[in-house]
Parts: sequence; structure tokens; C-alpha cells
Amino acid sequence: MSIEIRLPTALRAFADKQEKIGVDAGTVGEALEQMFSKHERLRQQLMSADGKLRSFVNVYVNDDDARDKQGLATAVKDGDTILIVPAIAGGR
Amino acid sequence: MSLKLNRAIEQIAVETCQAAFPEEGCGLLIGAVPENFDKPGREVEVDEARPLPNGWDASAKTNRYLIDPKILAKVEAELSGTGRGVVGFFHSHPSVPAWPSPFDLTMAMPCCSYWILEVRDGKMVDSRSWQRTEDGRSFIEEEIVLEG
Repeated sequence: MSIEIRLPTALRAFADKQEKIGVDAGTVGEALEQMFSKHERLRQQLMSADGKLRSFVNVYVNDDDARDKQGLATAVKDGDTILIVPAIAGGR
Repeated sequence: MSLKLNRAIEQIAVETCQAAFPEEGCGLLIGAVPENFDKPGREVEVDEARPLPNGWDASAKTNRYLIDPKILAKVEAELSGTGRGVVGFFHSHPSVPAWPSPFDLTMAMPCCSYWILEVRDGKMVDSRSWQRTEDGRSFIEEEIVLEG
């Protein structure tokens, strides 16, 4: 597989305990869809009902925040790494 | 369902949150990732508490905390392939009870332990730990097991 998606500890239980998932895709959105096709429970954790990334989910392509590019439409190529990192926040 | 840790680890979190008062303190809870991490009833055993800066905007640190995603990503990379992982998070609630707020629920990840420390006048007076349900609609309180 040409593109690697890396999952945080909190989400690996929904992907058969895998840290890294290989996909072939042209955009971040396509890559995530491929991952969801294998691990459907991840969809609810990462995506809102309207098909957008949940606000606390950060997606990096290599070191670049996908939100600073074209979001789910951000292009990816062979050898890229898509890193999913939750924004851990809260408060009283 | 429980969060197990020793008193030395507890002390690190307590000191972090007391020092941060009246702002919120926060950090990571690291340990072996349980086989049944996503299941109600799972037991998380922490072997390290790692305090981190509260990354929220300075104007609201008294009622919000934020862990920099880039720091979290570095820690996840450091732990990759070791069987250990970020199994939870701690943060303080200055001058309010250690019950998760609606904002805590909005931002919570599944599986992990969310350990909340109630700090009043600079002293920790109570703490409770919580696990978010898979559907994201609520938290369930878990037992805190202190050893050593």
C-alpha cells in the first residue's frame, strides 16, 4: 500500500489494534473512506453526521495540517503519511 | 472498569494541578494498552504521568485546557511499537467538582481514562476518573485504584 494512516492509541481498538493502516488513495478523504471500508467503527469517531471531520480531529499529511490545505480534498501521493491526532481539550 | 496507578504517579498529577491553580493543569497518562481497551469494564494501568503545558489561550486557562496535538503526536511516535500508549489524560477543575463538563464530553476520545482533579485554594480535594461511551453521549465513572 502506498499511503500510511497512523492512528492514536485511543482509536486503535476500532481498527483491530493496528497502529498503521495502508491505503491507496488520491486525497485525504479517499484515504479515510478506504480505512472506514475496513474499519467502519472509526467513522463515527472521526466524522460528524454531515460528513465533515469532527472539530477535535486533526489530520496531518506528513507534517502539514490538512485544514491549512484543502481539508479532505487535500491531495496525497505514494509515500505520504496521514497522521490522525485528537485535540485533547476540555475544562470545567 | 478502573484506572490503576501508584501513589508516585498520583503525586505527579496532583502537584501539576496544584501548581497550575487557579488555572487548569493537564497531562498524559501512559501505560500498556489493554487488550479490551474499548470495552466497558476494561482496566487501565498507568505506569507514567507526563505533565504538559496547558496550551489553551491565556485568557481562558482558568476554565479550559488544551494539549498541543503536535506534542501528543510526538509522544505517540515515541511509544509506537512498544505496546504502551497514551491510555488517558488528567486535568484539573479549579474550584469546581471533578465531574466532566459538557465541553469535556464534546472533546473526549473513546476508550481513554479522563482523570479529573478538583483543586480548591491550591489543594487537591477530590478526584474522579471517567470513560466516554463509544457513542459519545456520556461518561461513565470508573474506580481509581491506588497502589504503593
